[in-house]
Amino acid sequence: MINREKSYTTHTQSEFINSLPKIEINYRMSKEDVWAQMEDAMDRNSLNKEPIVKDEPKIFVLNPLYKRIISVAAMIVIFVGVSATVILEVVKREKRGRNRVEL
Amino acid sequence: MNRDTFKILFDDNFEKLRNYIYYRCSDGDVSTDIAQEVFMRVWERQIDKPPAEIIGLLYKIARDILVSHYRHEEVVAKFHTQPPQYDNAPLADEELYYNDLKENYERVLMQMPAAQREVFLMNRNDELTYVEIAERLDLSVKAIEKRMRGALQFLRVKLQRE
Repeated sequence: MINREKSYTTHTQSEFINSLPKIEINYRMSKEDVWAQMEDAMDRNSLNKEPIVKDEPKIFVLNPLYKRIISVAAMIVIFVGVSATVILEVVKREKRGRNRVEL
Repeated sequence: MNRDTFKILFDDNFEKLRNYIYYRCSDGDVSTDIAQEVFMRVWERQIDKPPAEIIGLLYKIARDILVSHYRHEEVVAKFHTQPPQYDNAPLADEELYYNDLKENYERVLMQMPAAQREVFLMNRNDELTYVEIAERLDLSVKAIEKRMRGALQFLRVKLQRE
């Protein structure tokens, strides 16, 4: 109990704080009641399930070596294709020219 | 966050969070509803943070909900104090003194600025240390000390005058 003889200004801080009454709090719902209510809500919303960890989508990743081989092969095919077309065209023209001379 | 971790978080913090809201609005039902809503939000959003950060977040969410709840109303806090525990039968003088103090104290608490009151009551009622209060309110310990000093000064002056 606070010493009435002392004035409020002469109390030390802790003496002063301890001399003051505590606040009375009466809640209608206990912590357990609140938890039970929350559990109901969690069950209803299926929130009790562990969070679903989705598998990472499988992305086809090509091995870098294969990637290089394929790109080189593609370049060769393009090169051969273009050269063949040019050669064929040249041969065709030469043939046409020879024919003209023969005529 | 799984259910067990969430239950531990709830058990450790629900009462203190509810009391904190009560210190700001002095309405038991509103405090319970808001504290419950805070925990539901944390669960629904599956917030995964270190415990210290989550505790600060709980109080922040509570403050935000409280502000939106009372956006258009002025909060008039009204508190009631517990009678002291006497070792022996109280003397008539002691009881008279207590009744006198109780009335004045409850009135002064109503007049006290909310920021000072919440810090003072978290320390007095929940017996939280300044460091714990600072963690919860996301303030520095210095700021808590300043608020506490202000609250005690306010109480000393007002109680002496009353």
